[in-house]
Amino acid sequence: MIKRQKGQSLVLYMLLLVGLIALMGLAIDGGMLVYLILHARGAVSNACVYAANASFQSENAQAAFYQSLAANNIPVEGYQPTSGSGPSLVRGITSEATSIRTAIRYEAPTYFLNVIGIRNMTVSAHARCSTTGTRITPIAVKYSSWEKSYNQGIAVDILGQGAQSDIESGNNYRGAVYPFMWCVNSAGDMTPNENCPYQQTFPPLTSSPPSAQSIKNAIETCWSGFVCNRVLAPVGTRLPSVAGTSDSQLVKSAKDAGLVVGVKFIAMIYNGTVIKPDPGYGNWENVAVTGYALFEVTNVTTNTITAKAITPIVTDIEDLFYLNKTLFYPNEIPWNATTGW
Amino acid sequence: MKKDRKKGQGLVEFALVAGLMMFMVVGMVSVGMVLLDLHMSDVSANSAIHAAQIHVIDGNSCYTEAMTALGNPTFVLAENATFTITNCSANPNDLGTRGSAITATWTFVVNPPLPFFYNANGFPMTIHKHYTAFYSR
Repeated sequence: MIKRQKGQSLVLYMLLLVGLIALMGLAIDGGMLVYLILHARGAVSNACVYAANASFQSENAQAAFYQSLAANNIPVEGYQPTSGSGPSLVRGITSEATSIRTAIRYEAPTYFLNVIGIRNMTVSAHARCSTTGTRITPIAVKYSSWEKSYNQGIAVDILGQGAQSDIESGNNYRGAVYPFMWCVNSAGDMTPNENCPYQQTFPPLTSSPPSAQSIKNAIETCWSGFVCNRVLAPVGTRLPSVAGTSDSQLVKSAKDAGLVVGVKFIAMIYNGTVIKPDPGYGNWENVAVTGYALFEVTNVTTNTITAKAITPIVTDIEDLFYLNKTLFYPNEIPWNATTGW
Repeated sequence: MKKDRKKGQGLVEFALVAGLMMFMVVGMVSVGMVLLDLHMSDVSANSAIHAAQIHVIDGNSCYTEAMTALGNPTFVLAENATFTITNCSANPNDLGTRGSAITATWTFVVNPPLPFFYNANGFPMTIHKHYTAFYSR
């Protein structure tokens, strides 16, 4: 009886050892798997956003997706060739009407689990991004017009003839401002200044003060190329009003850029006061941004664009997403979203 | 005589098993702490670089946006943790060039409390956690 008990502890010891190694392997390899999946999620999310924005700008989304993943050391077999489609996409990139889906999947080697025959573990992640955006226009609507439109559900004149009605001051206001030029104290001091002693410029403008021709070109680009979406004037920023142009010229440039009936757009809201600077500082009449709101074009004539306010005023433009699922630029959206995009 | 020789058997077995158990438990806890730090660096670095990637002119600089998104991650084991982000200006008037690369990197030293790891696996180990993204807007 004693002889049969002699190896008992050794057997128990070995069983315990195998169990412990398996547990340790599971803990370490499981932890590594979670880490690789986290990295894959981060990489595919960034790549998706980059690709969606490339698509939005009529560039090669697939090339952008590959470039971003390669830069994050995701193995090529993880995203090429594309496999699956729609919600069942396994790897690669596919386009849908207003979104793209992206996914990666590859096998990563195990460390400790290799001992018990498990040599690989699957790393997978996916992301979906909208490929559309809502243009931020150079239109600034006075608060009272927005209030009337939003509360009563009626359309108001927002650009060209009629846009200047009811304003307390300012002679040449046509409903448009320069979003890429801010009236500030000086080159090193970004404090808003209603006398507009210095005009801080942003792309597409490259110099301050800008030439008349460069401003004209920039405002045309702003209408058509979503360029103004790259410069979001915070609340309080003072923006010069567009001058030296006729109502019909302004309306035509907006219409040519696609601002037609049914199109939604983001406009700035100002309090209704157009400030005329002290003559010693120049002629940059300007307004102060008090927020943003989403509008929909209801009528376009030769001299006027009329629109209806469809959201409350937000001070952080990202809040429009929560009000109306309005993304002002392509961004990540839920994988299973079926409406709204 | 036989009875005397058996007297310490339980103690020896316990010592063997307990020693191994302790080694494994400390090992697993150490590895867990390293992994926690890796996860923390991964999530925070990605948050920061994503904020930089979608940066637009809005009064805040790319760097401010990135550092706000980074937050103040708490590491368990990491020593001398430093975060750097390249091509992400602290100037609020700098938009960044669309398509140009931004790199976020956490660098830290992990020093697990288990001597076995030191020579066998190169600890204390300096870890660099990178993320690269491209200006998208």
